Amino acid sequence: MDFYVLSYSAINGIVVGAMLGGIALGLSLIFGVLRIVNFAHGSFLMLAMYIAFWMQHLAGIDPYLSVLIAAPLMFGIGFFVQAYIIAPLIKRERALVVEPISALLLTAGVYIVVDNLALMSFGPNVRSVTSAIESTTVMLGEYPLNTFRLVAAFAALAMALLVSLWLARTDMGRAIRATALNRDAAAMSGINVPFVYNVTFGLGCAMVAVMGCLIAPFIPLTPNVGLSFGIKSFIVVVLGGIGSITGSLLGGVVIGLFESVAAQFVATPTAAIFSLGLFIVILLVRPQGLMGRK
Amino acid sequence: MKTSISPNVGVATGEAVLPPLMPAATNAGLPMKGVVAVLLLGLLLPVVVHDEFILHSLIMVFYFAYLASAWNLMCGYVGQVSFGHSVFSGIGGYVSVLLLTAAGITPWLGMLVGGVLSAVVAVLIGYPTMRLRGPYFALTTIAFAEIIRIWFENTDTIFGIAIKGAEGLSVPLVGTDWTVFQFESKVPYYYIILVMLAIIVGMTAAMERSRLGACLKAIRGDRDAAESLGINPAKYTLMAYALSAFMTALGGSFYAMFIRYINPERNMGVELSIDMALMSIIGGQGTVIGPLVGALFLAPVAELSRTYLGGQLIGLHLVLYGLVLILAVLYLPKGLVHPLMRPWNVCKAGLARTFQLSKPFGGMSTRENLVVGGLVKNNDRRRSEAKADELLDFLGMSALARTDADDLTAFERRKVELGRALSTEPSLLLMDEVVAGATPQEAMIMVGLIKEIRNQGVTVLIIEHVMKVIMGLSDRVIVMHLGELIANGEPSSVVTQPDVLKAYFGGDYVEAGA
Amino acid sequence: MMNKAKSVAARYGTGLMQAVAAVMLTCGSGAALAQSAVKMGCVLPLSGGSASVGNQTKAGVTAAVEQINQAGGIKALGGAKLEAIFGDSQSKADIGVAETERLINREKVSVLCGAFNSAVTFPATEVAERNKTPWIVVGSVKDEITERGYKYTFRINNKATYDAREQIDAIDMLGKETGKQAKRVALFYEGGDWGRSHAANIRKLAAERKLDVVLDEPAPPGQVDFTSQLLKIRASKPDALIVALYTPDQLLFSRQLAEQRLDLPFGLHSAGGGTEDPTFYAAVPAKQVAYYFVQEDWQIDFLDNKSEPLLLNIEKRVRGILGHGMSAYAAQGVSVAYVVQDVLERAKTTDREAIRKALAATDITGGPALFPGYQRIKFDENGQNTFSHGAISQNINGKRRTIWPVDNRGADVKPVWPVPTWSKR
Repeated sequence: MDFYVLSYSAINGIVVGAMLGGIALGLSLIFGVLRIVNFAHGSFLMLAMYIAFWMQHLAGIDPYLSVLIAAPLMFGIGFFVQAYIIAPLIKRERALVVEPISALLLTAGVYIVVDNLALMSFGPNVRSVTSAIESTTVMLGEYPLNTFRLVAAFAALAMALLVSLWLARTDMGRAIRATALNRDAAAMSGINVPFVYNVTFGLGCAMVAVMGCLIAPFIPLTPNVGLSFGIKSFIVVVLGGIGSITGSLLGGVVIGLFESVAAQFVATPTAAIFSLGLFIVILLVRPQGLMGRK
Repeated sequence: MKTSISPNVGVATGEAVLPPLMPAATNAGLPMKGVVAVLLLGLLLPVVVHDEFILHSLIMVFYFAYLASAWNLMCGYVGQVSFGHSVFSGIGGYVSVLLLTAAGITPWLGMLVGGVLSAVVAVLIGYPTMRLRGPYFALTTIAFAEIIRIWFENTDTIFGIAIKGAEGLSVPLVGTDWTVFQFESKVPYYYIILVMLAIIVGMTAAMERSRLGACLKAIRGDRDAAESLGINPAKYTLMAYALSAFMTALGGSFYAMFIRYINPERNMGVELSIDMALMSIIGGQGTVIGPLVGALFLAPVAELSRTYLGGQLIGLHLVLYGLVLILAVLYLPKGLVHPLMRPWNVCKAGLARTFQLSKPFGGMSTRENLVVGGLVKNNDRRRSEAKADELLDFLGMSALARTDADDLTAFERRKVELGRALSTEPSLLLMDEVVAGATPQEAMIMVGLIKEIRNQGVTVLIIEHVMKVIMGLSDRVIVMHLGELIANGEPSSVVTQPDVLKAYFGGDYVEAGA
Repeated sequence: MMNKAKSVAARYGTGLMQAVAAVMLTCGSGAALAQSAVKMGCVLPLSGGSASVGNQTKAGVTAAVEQINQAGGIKALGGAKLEAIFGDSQSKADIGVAETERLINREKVSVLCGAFNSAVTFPATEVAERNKTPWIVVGSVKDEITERGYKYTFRINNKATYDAREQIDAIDMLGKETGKQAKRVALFYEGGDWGRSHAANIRKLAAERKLDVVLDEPAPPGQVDFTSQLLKIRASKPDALIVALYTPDQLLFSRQLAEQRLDLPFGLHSAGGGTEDPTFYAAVPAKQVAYYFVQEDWQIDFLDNKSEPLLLNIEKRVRGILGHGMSAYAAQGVSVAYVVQDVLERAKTTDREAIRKALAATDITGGPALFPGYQRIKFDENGQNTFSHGAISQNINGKRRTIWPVDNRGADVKPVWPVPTWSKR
């Protein structure tokens, strides 16, 4: 195995991994605060990509600009899903913590509905989004790197940083952190927990929407594109530590690096089997993940 | 002196021996008759229906019902959701096909071998993962299933036996008789899957009442509490998982022999697992017939929407699936079968009750109150009215037939309510504090009425603490004190028991008397 | 329709079986109305993974059937209209079988076609055989489909082994034409049924023809990045790369291949899939797919070489339905509809047995049935069209032109072999 190939696949693995980590951020945040595994996470990514597509198709808006439209829109959709679909479950169980498996089934229902509504409305054909940015590769030394992927990777970093700052510095951020730590105490301190839930869910969706627009220029778009990203995101989040922002990025990088380098030694399906195996082992041996607290 | 007075429970039975309250003690009981009816009807169907398409569709519906029931054996009763069960059906299918094509072993034996192998795989997967809970377990089962599927898709031979990877295996026609599981007509397949379905439903019902079922339900209810009772959750969960995998594999073998083609994508994919789980969950997981009801509801929805909308609104039936799932989780967390156990259906099954604080329908006349009850059993209003008049006569209330129920005295209201309960023609009547607040004369009238009802063959269960009423009426008395059963037997023997006396009059009294 | 579904749901509690049976019977009764029409059933993947493909064939069938009816229907049957009835297989064997049962027993179709996925066609043709209903295979290439001695199964298009052989033949032929032979090939394919069986056939042929297979790499669908695989391809230094990928993967792969400026001296040879899907070309810049060799089941520049008003008309209609022009899948739909017309004209009845006989005696040497680029349609005793072949095109100057077979090559077409390096484009 020559050094160039190995080092290139490592660098590429890190870039792709950061992107995966960025996509998983929203899933991690929602789990950290609401303790809900959002099975529809990939579907929201898919929706954001379609927003970018239609913005470009109908109004000629560059996918990078449609972030400004997709993020608030998806915030609204996430807020709505939480307020009208998941909140009734919380009300029914008369507790702030719902039975996680019901929540999983509920979001699985949302996933089935959203994916197939997209299929019904947009058809099964592959769509693709282009950006006005011309240069598609930059050279890092002797390694050609895809500009769009680099942008997505750095955006994931920036977004993680911004969200951490926002959580640390603002009132809403503090309310969210307090709710994540102890929802009953938060409620007793006058925090409107259901509202915090809605905002958190919306924020998680907005975060995945940002990534959706950023990956749209290079990932082909079909109504079922979300599922593979969704399952990857679960792996990333479990690996990094559920609810941890840095853990999500780190988990993404580890998975990206692992798959990219492993694929140099074994066939791609075998590498996929390894990463699923890694997921199982992490759950069994270190369920709190790399960065999670016990 | 303060005496804790606990109400007595009297049971007055009719001539017949007291029947069990419900055929099977739990939720299984009421709709079980329906299942038997469906199965019997199913048995006769091919005699009437000769259309291969209808038979094919019914076979597939029963196949899904079977798989959902197999899924339910473990996932429903332990409360762990598996999204990886399709792997067991795939293993079952592959093993039976390979044994037939490579070694000429009959699929009847092959499916059992596949079942055992699946059970072994289930134990291997289950052993390390059983301690994971909720979503973690669900996601892990997806991961395991995907690993096995990807491996199958990319493997051409195992130990020199061709499994042909993603291409899948087809079953060559080798004959048409029972020994090779191949038939000209669809009718034999139909009966096979029907019998398999009957077996798994029967098995679930048996498990419900078995030690295993009790332990599993305890684990589902609260794992820590179950452990504290000496139940080893891992052991019982693994047993259920292996059993469920075994049964799922038999279903997979049936599919492979019926369609005569099997591939990893369809038979081991996540989609099939989700189908099994959804049908079971929507129907009512952890119940005997929930998965059956779920499959009988969802599978035809898919069939019909595909038949009518195929290619028009692609994905519509899945949107409906998703919506049904969301609504079921939110509003029918116990599944579609739960409403079958609702009071109105309980009434239809022959159980009626009265309330401690009588609840006749205000704004309706006495007679109307009784007519409504009669409508439950027979839709014919005239017959219902005739019945109501009969009952009014029996209650001695004919003169009050047109009086608004709101204007009656407390005792009259109680009688109207009794009449209303009787108008549903119950076989069991539950009465709560029948003479509370009644004058002694009124109490005597009530006792007379109840005696008459009893003599007509209706079992009456009364909760009452007026001893005279209980003693005068009951064939059997059960005494409870602070939630504990302290006596159970003939009235005469019960009243002399020291515990009963002590409960009623306090310890001092008993000692003083003795 | 929704109401029926609902009423069934409502009646489950009481008489489920009756409800299902009743509804199924009512749906059948509608079928008896159009006595004058001849029905052909088409089982296609209209939803699910291969939905895009199935809907393209559906458009082709629809357009051709409309055209046939406008031209006076089936003349031998007094101008009876041809009616295509579609069943959605969702790419699943069991559902394809159910739809086949429905089309045969409920819709009483005279002839069937479909079903693209070999996994569906294989068991579905068995149902057709048992019900003595002729089935014209569309799109499925699994060899065994026409090797079981079935009497009712016919296939117009290629077997899988033909596909692989044509690719290797073309590489051979171009080598001989120019004296520059490709010696090392790399295989990169989707890890499903189609990709794996294509790779297996290539492997077998490559061994016979003394071609070195320097890389043999499957990819599970839904990859988000192909950099690692491209690195492997680069490291194996192939002369030519043979790929078999579905549209989304092909799109991502083509983009990344161009970005990495990976030079393949004798080009990329695709076995169809994504590269025969018009939506693929709409989504990828022309520069990125320059010089691609694409093997597919129709001739892409058919209308450039010959201008047939009937086919131009179909092209227009298909564009109206799909939003994009003809494709191999649509062309196969057109072909099967015209074969059915030809057969019915000769059978002069809607009787299935007579249709089977007429099908077996088919010998078409002209007309729209040959739209996919065949010279002739004639079935052997197994029902395989022995004159079937695909066509291989090369993307030259932004236009896909047929270069193989030589007979189908336009006068102005000169294959580019070897292909220029990225730096010289």
